[in-house]
Amino acid sequence: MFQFFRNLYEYRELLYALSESYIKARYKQTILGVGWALVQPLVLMLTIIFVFPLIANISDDMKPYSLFVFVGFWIWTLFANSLAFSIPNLVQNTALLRKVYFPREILVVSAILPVLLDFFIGILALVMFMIYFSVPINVSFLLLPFLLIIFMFFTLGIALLGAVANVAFRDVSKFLPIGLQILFFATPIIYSFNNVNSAYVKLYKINPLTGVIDGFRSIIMRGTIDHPLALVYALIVSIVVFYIGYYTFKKGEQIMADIV
Amino acid sequence: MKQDYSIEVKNVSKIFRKNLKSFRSMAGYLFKRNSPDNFYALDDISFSLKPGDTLGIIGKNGSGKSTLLKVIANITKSSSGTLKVKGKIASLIELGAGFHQELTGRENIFLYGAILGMSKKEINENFDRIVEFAELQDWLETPIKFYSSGMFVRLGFAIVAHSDSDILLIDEAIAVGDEQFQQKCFKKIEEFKKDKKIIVLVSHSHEVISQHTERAIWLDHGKVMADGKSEEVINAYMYKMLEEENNATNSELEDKTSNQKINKIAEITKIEFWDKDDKPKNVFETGDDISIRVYFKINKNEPVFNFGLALFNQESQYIFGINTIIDKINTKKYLECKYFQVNYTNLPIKTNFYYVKAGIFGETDKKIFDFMDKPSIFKIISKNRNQGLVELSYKWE
Repeated sequence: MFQFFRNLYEYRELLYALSESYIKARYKQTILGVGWALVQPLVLMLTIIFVFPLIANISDDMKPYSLFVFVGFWIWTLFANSLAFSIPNLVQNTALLRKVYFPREILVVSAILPVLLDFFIGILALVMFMIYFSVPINVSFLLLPFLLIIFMFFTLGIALLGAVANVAFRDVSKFLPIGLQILFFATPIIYSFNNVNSAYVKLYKINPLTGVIDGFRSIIMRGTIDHPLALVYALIVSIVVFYIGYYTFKKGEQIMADIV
Repeated sequence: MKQDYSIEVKNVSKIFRKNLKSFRSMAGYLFKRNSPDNFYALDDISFSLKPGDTLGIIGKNGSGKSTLLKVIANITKSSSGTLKVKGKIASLIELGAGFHQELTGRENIFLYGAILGMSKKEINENFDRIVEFAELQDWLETPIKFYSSGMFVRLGFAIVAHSDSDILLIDEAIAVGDEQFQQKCFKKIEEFKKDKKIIVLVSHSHEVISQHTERAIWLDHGKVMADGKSEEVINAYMYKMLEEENNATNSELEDKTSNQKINKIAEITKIEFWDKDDKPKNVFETGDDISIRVYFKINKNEPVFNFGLALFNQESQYIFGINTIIDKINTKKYLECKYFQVNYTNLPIKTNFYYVKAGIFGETDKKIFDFMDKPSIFKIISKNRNQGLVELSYKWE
């Protein structure tokens, strides 16, 4: 694990340069340019504000429902886009894999950094929401960075696993959108964990995303952590997943250039 | 300047697997299981290089040249053996491998620089020099998807050339681009040599290797066939190549002549090259005198009528041919001393490898007593920079 951070540090210039190139390339030949980075969260925000009040029967822990959905979406997008961009990124850079050496995790992380940037831009939209609904800021907000770190470990672990598997079998990136779609509905994002049918509660508890999203939401909306145990569980799972992901990735790295 | 960079390759082998499709085969490959699909891309390679060393790697396609570079560059891992590399490596295994098509030339300089391990500061410091070297001043703000392939290569080499690496791994890359830019690249390589960098150069071209590296390794099917001074290794390699080519044509020839009953009445045993001081030699300069001596023995007592000698260059172009009938030479003395000799003066042929074919014939051309079985090669080096196959004497009026 230390090796992971040491490599990131040692190759930070490359990490920045690659991330920068992805961001730049993403907005090349567009009129709005980097403006597009703002459009997506704003449009999401407006859609949510105008559409969701139309839904009836919303339990108290989900009010205001538009803020509830926004936070869920905001976190989910970070997870889903991180995977969507990083898992195919090794294969997309076959030329680099075959011709130049650097620790290959740089390619995974550099695909995630732009998504993380979008995530931080999303804070602007979040602040607007909170002002609109006059939600107060409180001390427990200090926990949010910690939550984000846990969450990123989990995301990185899955991304590393997926990326190395995708080098061997491209089926991984084909299945990815399907898997993400299933997970989107199987995770309490547009509904609350409290509303889940009690028969399936155990199943939901296995999913570490449940605890993380619930944690983010309860802190932002009420300044409390509703399910602290779920967060501890998420922390442990995240570290384990990250460790397995990184170990597998490093093992696979040895033959990556030969099989890609 | 510190000079503590080095390469040490010890008993390095690399096993590849032909069929890497199933999960089983990949797992087996990863954990180095035996398999009938395994083959050695590199087989027990050892050498070490210190600052200022230049190494050329020659061999046919698929002989493991590029794989060796990739192992040194850490792009792929060796299956066994140890590899110690100290110092910053820049690999020109493919120029422009890290370019992003959508980005401009300027942006790509920073991206590719970072891939080569340069910091932003270093790139900024070298930026103008890179642009000037690549001759792309007017194209900096253009996305490189609009670049020509020549521009692509120029930009790639320019960045690598200014990357301040200790070790340069160069794989044929320079073969692209126009003549003038190639010259520029080679000049830069000469500068690297002066700076005591380690250079490993892979090329098909014996000229490139002999001009730019002191030492050479000849690889064949992953094995080292020869290792030593560039000139010697190249000679051995060329000899082998010509021999193989010749064997192919010889077997063709034998098929043809078997009908004509080629009987070994005479046999050519050896061909030697002598300079004007009567020293055996293999490398000459344009304008030198050269004597070619062909030894033979006579097995059956049949009258020999004709000796012939033909000169070919490496590309198998027929340069010059003579025989004793055309020149009305009495062959009697040759039969007595068991060799014949031809002296050429002021050899007007230019830099290349040349080989000789000799033949001994009966009363007609169809009656071949022997036709050389081994190619004998010598090399000509031209000091002049004029071009073409032959050196004519001339004067600008």
